[in-house]
Amino acid sequence: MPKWGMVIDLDKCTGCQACTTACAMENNTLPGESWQDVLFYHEGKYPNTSIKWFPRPCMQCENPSCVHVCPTRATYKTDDGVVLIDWNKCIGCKYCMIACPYGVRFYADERPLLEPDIRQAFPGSDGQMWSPPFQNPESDWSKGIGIQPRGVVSKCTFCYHKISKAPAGVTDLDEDDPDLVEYVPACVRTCAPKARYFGDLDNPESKVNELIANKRGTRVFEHTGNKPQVYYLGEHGTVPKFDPQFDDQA
Amino acid sequence: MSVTAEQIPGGPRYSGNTMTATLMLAVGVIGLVIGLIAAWPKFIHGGAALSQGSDMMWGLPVVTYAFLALSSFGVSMVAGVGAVFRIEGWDRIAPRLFTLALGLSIGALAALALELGHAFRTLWAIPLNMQIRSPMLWMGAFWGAYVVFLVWLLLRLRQVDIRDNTVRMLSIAIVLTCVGALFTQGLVYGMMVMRPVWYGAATPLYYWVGSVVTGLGMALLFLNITHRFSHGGLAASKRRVMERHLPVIFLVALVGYAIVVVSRTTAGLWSSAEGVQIVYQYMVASPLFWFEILICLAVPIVFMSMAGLRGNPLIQTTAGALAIVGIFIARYEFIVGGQLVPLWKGSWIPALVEYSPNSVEWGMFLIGVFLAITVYAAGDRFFNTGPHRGD
Ligand code: SF4
Ligand code: SF4
Repeated sequence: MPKWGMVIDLDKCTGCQACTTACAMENNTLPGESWQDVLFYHEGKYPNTSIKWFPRPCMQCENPSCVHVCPTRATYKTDDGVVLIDWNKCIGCKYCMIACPYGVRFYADERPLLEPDIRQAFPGSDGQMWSPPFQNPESDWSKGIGIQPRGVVSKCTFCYHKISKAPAGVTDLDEDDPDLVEYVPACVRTCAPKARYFGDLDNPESKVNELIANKRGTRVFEHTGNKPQVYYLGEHGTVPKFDPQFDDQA
Repeated sequence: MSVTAEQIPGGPRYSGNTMTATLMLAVGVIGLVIGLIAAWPKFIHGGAALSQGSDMMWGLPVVTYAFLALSSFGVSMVAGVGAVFRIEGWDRIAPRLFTLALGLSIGALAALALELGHAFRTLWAIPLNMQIRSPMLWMGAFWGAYVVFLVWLLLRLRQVDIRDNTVRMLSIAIVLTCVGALFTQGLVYGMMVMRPVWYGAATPLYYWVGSVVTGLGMALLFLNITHRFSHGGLAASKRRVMERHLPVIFLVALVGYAIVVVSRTTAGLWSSAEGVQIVYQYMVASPLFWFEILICLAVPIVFMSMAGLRGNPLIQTTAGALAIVGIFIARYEFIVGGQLVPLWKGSWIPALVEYSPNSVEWGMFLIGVFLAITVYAAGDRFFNTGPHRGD
């Protein structure tokens, strides 16, 4: 059984947001509810400023605080290392959102994050919060795949509907391999500068492990003990301190 | 062994006034209707009607539920002292306080049910899946048992006196389960290492101290209203409890709580943990904080320190009401404050999360509060029977 993980090379990321768009199309997420977001940070003070991009999916933590706090076990970890949500069990208490250090969980039953409210343009049927005409046919509420029903939490699934069908024994899901491209998560497949890699963290031969070892991959917010399965490469693989004065300086 | 009404010690009794209970009941029902009207959009539009969202997950409805639940536990602890140790006079106030505790728990459950995405699903999804690592599971288990024991005790009190042995056992069970629920509720926040304003082993203790203050404040407020701001008709032992014991213990609890608040605020203002100092600076800069400290905490301490004043029913009512408002503000600051620092957001969220409750959330608050008042008043009005009639 693999332990799926992702490596994101920050030196290669151009902040194009293609991954965000691909994820939204693949998973029919609501506008503003980006399971796969690309954060940006300003650093330094004018005139010596720089901007840096930080793609942020769910970290599919090895020791996921969201799983530990969920009183109904609606959030669970699969044997292949992915954290999923069973929408049939979720009570919408949002404790997992409180407990996720990475801010990657969403409760769609709230005011629209961006206007206009697309849910009103495509009212939901079959219990879904909305029903767009371009919906991905893959849907499994027991794994949090598809469009959410009302009153539950959702998040990135590492495109579980794709990766779970990959042939057994594969070490890396590389979009350049024609035999494997259909099993590659949408964000990895679409990344033009190839800043993302996806593979088996338990296999010492995998490309992801090679990159983590050779380029000193880091994980963010290690102090929480969550142990993400998403590693970052590059010179600036740390998150800047929260600085609420930023607005005044700008 | 059961004790009959004839064997009850304590001299003359307060002659129960159904008028006060009826008035309280009317206030409760009117408040409930106003709350329902204000919260109506929640029933139509769901979570979209609320001001809280993915940045502020737990807003006023959760504050309301936490406040009412902790108040219920506090009131039960106060009642439990009388019922478990059989302190003469104190035991006579216990039945009414247990009714209040039940009302507060029902109000808390209503606020929580309105907030949850799937309230009824909790009934099977939590017990059937048993995530024992989650403090929320334990809080639910303790709270559920606590409510069952409360109902059982109140039903039994319709036949027997508070000095009955089963009632004593039930009172012990109530105190133990409410302390369990209190501490696990503290753990719901205290275990969150990613939320440094909440994190720490002292959080459950902070909850406990606040809960004792609210319990005593609620006891003084509701008992004095029920006795129509006069201790004249009370039995001597009960009067002694109302005029001497409760106010002095209230004073000790208030001082203890003030020490905790000062130490938390000082530690927060000088903390080097990322995000803590900013939140405390933000809280201390708010007039709400100073209202809480100077009016809701200092004034009751002054009132209860004055031996000539603390037995006065009107002074007790004022001090109790102020302390209750202060603890509510503290719960709001704590729960909302813990979420003010946005978790790992980019430069497009440069400041603290902005949140102010809207009218729908205030409607949910009113539902919780007035449901508690309604249950208490209905208990007094319709179920004040058996050996305790007239207490
Ligand atoms: S990143 Fe958050 S949601 Fe994802 S597994 Fe970790 S704790 Fe859970
Ligand atoms: S919101 Fe759902 S998934 Fe999250 S902790 Fe509550 S029950 Fe679990």
